[in-house]
Amino acid sequence: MALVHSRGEVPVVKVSGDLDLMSAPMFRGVLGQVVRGQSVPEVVVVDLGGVGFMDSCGVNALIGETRGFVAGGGKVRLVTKASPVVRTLSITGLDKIFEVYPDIGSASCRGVA
Amino acid sequence: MKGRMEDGGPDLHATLDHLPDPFVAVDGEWRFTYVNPAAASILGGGDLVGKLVWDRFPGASGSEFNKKLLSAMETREPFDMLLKPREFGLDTDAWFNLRAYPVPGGLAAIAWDATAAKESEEERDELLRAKTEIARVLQRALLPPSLPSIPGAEVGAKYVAAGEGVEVGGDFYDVFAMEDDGWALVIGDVAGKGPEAASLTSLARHTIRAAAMRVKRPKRVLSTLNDEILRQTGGERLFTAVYGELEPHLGGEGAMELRVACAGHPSPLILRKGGEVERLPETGTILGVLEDPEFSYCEVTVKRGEAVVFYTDGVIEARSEDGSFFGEERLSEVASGCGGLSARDVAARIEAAALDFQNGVARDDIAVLVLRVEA
Repeated sequence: MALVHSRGEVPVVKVSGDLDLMSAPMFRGVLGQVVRGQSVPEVVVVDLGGVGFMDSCGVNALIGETRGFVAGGGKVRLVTKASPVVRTLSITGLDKIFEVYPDIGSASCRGVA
Repeated sequence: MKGRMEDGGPDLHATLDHLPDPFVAVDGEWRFTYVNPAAASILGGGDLVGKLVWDRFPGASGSEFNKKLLSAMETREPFDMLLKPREFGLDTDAWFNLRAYPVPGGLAAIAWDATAAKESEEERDELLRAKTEIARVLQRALLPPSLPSIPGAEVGAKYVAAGEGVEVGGDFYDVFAMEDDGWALVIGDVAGKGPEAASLTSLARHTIRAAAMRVKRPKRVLSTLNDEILRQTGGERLFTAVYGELEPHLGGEGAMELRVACAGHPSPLILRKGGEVERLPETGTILGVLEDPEFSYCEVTVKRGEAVVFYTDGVIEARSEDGSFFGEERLSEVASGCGGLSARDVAARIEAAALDFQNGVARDDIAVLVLRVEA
């Protein structure tokens, strides 16, 4: 399940449940609408706080869908809570590619130009 | 029971007589009480009303159909069944779907031709078989046909494709001799499945082999692989890998040195003597994303009787029915109990544990590659 809301100027894609083979295409679609919409934001927050598990399909969707956005200077910030997702981000090195925050407040406030 | 109802309602008898689908009714003693013309033509004609079902169709006695009918009569529960009347001695090659249901004083049954559906189902099964066979052949081409013999050490591997093996998996491993006496070991995982993932797997395997001969530094081998993946896929495919080079003579007293670089992949485990399990560092970046990724690197001495376990995420992400994960802890426990086993047996035990955990059907590909220095 992926929903979009916003925090101030910053769009937040909130994902819940498992982010895997089944749900990755839907997540990709929602994320794509945000990073390729009419007005492209500077920062997008992907809230993975409600995700219990993320596999390589989820990783693929996250990276694949934000590639153009990041290349164009956009910033993707991830929010994670203690869960196997943190481990997935660390194994794949995604925590080095994206900024990771403990909650939406800090992810959507800090460093927004 | 006479056709036209007294109040001038519909003539149900005539209605049933005109149904193009076979319809019959039997009483509690298994005598036909009604057979419409469509049914009569399939059941072989003649007046069946009053005849005993099992006398008339002895070929159906003892069949699954027979049992279901008896059970429906007993329990008063309807049932559906796909039938081939030829099996009961009737002269037709058609398939029928039959639905039988209890009615006052007996059972009624209606059937409809299911030949077209059955044939397309068979065609689908045949396509699936062909696809599985293609996947199996491709898969075999992506894995080494046999593992080399390394003097002073042994290697063993296990591979299970996800589900029923209809798609080519994205996991692979390889072990090969390098030019000057060393050995290279690699395990990797391409995101996704099917022909596209398979072609990237093939590219990765050959790129690594070529790079291993040319650059001979684990991190540089992975960098070369990253460049090639980016060049070939335009950044549309991700890939994780662990690449290790084994130096048989560097450890002293039969021990060996392994230099390992890791790119976004679960890091290998070292099974020390006495059952202790060590995990190598793993902060490398996944391949196929950044132009200048960072890989973790370490050098580790593997002593006599010790083993290194390379694996893919299909092991730790195996999931039981209640949703819990196999996980790294459980993997360490299983590995810890593998002291003294051959490389092949260690790989087999880990594979079996991950498979058993998910009731024997792999949700994702599972690959395990084990190197063990001879005791």
